[in-house]
Amino acid sequence: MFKVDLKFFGPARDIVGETNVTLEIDEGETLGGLAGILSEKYPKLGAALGIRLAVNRKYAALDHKLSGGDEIAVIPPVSGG
Amino acid sequence: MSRVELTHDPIDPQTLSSEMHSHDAGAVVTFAGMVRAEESDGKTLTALDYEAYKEMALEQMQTIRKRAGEKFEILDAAIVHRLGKLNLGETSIAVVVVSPHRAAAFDACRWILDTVKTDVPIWKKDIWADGTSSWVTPT
Repeated sequence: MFKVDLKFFGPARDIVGETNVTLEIDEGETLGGLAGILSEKYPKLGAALGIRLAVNRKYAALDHKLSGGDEIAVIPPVSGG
Repeated sequence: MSRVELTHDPIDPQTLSSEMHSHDAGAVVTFAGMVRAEESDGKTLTALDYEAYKEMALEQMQTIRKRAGEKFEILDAAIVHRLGKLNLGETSIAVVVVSPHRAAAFDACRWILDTVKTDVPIWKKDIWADGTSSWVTPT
């Protein structure tokens, strides 16, 4: 098991009700696996459309393998400009 | 002002643009995005409230600026985005592009804006006159 740091922004933060969460996950877990864990832990987040995940400040693919201490951001559809 | 910046202070696109003068420039395009009045379901917009995942937003903006330099024939580019509460008529984003030629300047400016709107982790909330607020869903 290892720990990753989750950050929630914008509407995702309102859905979850928290800004920062530390989660323990299994060795070898992928970003896609974590997405599954998150949608079970926060069903409303799972139902929200268009959420992207970033690992250490970069958008990452679902097969990306996570490491201890990774900073994972839950990024709902952006609306800058 | 630096070429890529997130700021809580008002943005002056003209000042930004005047800092980017070059004798090789045949064209300078300065774009300002403004907060405009809006009515929705009988509610009146009074302000927008912007927030960012700052570290990543800055990295994305740097990347966009670099890619614009590779994609278009430009000499310089700047992207400045405001954060916090903005009233109607205030500038939320300024993009300045300096190029030898107008076509590249216009094209690069538009591409930078479009890419900021899809890639940079910034979110805004509508603040309504009745005291309610709602996240803006991009279209």
